[in-house]
Amino acid sequence: MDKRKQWFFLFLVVMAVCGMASRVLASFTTPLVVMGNVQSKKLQYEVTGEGRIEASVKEYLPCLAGIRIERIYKRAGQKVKKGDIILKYRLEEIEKQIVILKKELKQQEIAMEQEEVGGKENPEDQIIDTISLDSAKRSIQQLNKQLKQLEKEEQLLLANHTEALLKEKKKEYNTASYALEQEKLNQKEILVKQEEEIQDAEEAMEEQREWEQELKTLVAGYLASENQNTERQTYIKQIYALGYGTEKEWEAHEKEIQSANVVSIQAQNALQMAQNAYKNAVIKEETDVSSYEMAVVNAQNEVQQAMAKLIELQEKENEIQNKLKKYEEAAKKDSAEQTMLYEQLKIAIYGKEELEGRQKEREKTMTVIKRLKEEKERANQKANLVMEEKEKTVDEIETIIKQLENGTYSFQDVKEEIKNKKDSLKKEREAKKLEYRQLQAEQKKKEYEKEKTKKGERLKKESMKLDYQEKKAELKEYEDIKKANGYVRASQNGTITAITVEEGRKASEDDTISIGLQGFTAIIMVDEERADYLKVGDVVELSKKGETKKISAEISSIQYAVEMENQGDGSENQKTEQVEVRFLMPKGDYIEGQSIFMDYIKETKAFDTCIPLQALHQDDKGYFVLILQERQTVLGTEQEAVRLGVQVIEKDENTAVLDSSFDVTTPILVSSTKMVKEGDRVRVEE
Amino acid sequence: MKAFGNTKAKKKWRKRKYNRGVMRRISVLIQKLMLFFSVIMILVPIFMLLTGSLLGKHEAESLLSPVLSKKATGFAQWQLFPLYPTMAGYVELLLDTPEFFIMFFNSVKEVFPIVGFQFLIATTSAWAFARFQFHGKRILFGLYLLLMILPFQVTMVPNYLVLDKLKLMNTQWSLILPAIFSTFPVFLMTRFFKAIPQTLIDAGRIDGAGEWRIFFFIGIPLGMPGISSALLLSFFEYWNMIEQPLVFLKDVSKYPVSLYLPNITTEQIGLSLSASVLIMAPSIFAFFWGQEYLEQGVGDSAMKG
Repeated sequence: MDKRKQWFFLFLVVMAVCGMASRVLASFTTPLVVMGNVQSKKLQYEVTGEGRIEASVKEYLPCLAGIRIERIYKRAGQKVKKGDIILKYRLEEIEKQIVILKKELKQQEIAMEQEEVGGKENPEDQIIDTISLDSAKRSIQQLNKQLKQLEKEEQLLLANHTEALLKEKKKEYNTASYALEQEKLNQKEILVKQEEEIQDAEEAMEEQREWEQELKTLVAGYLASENQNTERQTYIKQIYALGYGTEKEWEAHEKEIQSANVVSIQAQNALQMAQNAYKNAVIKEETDVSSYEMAVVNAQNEVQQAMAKLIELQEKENEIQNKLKKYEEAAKKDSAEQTMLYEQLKIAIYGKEELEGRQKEREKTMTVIKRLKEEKERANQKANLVMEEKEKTVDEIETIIKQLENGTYSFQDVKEEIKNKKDSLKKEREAKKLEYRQLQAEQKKKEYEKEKTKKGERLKKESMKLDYQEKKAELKEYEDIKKANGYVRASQNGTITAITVEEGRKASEDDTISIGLQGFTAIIMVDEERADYLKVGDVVELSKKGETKKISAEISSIQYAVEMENQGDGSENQKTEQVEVRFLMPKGDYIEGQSIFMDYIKETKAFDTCIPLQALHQDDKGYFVLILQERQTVLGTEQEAVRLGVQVIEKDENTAVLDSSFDVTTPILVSSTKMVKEGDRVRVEE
Repeated sequence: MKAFGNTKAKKKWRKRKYNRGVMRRISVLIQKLMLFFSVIMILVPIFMLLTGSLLGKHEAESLLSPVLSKKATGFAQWQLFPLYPTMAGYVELLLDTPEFFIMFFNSVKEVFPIVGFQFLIATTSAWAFARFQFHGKRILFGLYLLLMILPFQVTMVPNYLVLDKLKLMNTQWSLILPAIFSTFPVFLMTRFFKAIPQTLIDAGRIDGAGEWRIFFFIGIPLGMPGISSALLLSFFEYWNMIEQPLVFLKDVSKYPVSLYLPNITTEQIGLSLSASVLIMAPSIFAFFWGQEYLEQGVGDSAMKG
């Protein structure tokens, strides 16, 4: 045969042999498994523990530390009756101790008072802190607002929405133009108002000037007219009229003068008549002339009065006339006194007060005019600046609009500018935030410190209070024993369980004097896990150390004992691994502190879904069992191990109880010749 | 000769001859280089397969995990030779993977009957088309050609329906039966049988040989290159078939070895490469077995075509 054919057939033969060998090997390597169903079974738990015997109820008698024992009357284990003397303390030492304790109590009272007065916080600090925080918060809010505005603008720009921007800018342009127009109108209004005010002031000034001018004109007219001329008289009259305000008033005054003149003439006539009458009487040599004298005197008085009134009424006119004449003379001479005389004339006409008032009013008006003009100037300048600025804004917007319309507008510069602004605002905001956080942290720290201090103070006070109460109780104890002359007696019937003091020696804090009043209790420590299987009322068999005899005792209580576990770094953690189980011991001979053991098997009720513990597996998803599933493979129908998650209710050392929902007909993988994992191919043992 | 009398012309002629020689050599060199690179391109994957099958599990994973694992990052690497060559892949495949052998012998059971039956069916059909005259011969041959050029995806549904009707689905006959009546070997063999001189057949007839005798003693020996090459090509085709078993077989225990590789997971790269070598082995053996006939047949069919 051709060699190549031989190689081909040889290859096929080798493959056939290897195929058979691999099948044989596979049959050896495939795990052989035993399947089983759930069973009905009871679980058993063994609970063991070791403990000691203690008296159930004890009474501790006072043990005065530092006081010498004078005599001991009873020993440990001895039975005592109520009132029996147990020991006696030395009385002198008790008295000394009482004095010391009282002193200490006083000191503690003082210390407590001092602590009560302790420092109080300053409320101003808190207010300052709150203000600082609020201020920082407001700053952040303000910056956020500015940033949002900028972002809005940037968004608009970033989107490169020329149209939107154009619209926006046109809107801005309209607003700015309107503002400009409005400003112009405002300025115009202000200007008009100011001009009106100035005009009013100037008119007032003009009036004052006119008033002066009138006098000047009249005086000039007077000077120009000839003496005794009617024209001059007219001027004089007008000048007089100026002195009296108006012409009518002056005419009224003239009429008054005329009437005064008439009165004066009448008075003179009456005097003449009176004098004539008196003269006649004298001549006639009448006896009683006194009435005539009286009439003359009265008439003289009336004349005087009329003359005085007339003079008074003519005084101003005379004064004016006098001054006018003087001024006329000075004017004719063109002397230097002309101005002064003119001023005097004015005083004579108008009166000094009125003239001064008018003078002041004129000065005031001038000041007002000056001020108004200055204000106008300033307002003009300010308005020009505002207008310029607004015009500039309008021009800028107009330029942007033109650029946008032409397509030459550069967003980049604005973007850059906005970016810079944003960056600086952001930086500022970050700084403010940091400041705010720091302030917050400081405030929290302060609050924490304050709280800590308060707590510390409170604890200190409580501790001091406790110390004080303890000390007080101690003092009472000493005083009670002092009252009993140092004797300590049994308060009830019982057995002395402990008396560690000795005669002649001082009692210490570690010493105990106790009487057991009732039965005994066994205290056994059990693992926490195991303790779950015990309950109060269970009767358990116990055995004393070294004895085989079992003692049946009932559980009276189960308590979790807290143990402190050292962490290595000095700190301690609570640990509850042990449980304290107490038993009421039946009557018998027990010694306090004697060791006792417990070995108890607890059997549960029967469960219908029990599986051997080795059939139960656990992984990170929980408990599971393996069941078999048929699978079609190249090798034919094969059995494959499949994971089935289960709920475990209970388990002991050998058995696990599954949740009742588990299908009892499902066979589960109980044991195998090899370790089986999920997905492994297996063979079932027949 | 007159032309060579001139020394200048002689020199020119020699120079031209020299240039032609240089050009021919350059052309040959280029052809050889192209062939060399083509051969390298063909051999590199086979070389990689062979060296890869000797890779250890961890080495293979570290080199190829970037392309096989979704979690891995970076690029896959390939070494010329493994750092720690091992036969572990082969040992595991040969001794601890019975599935492979089941599939391997499934292939053997499917491909050898196909080739055998094709020999019977295709040679007789081809002889009939080549040597006999009958009504509808051209139409029938045309239908054969049409079937030959139709891809499997087109004939898949009719095949399925027929096989289902014949209750052959999910049996190895569902792969064998359609393949027996493949048209390509008939087409190839017909061309070879047609090439046998008529005088030779007439001489046989004159010597008293019947039709079967002529077929067996003249037709088959003279058409052997065509028959062999057609059957070899069929062997290669059906040894590597993928679609047919996936469509016609439901029971995985009947799958051919060509479907073994898709089942290989990332963790079994070494096993996959070893399996590839062993799957490739029968094709190589078959090729060397029929190499001469194949070369001759392909060459002749090209000449005759």
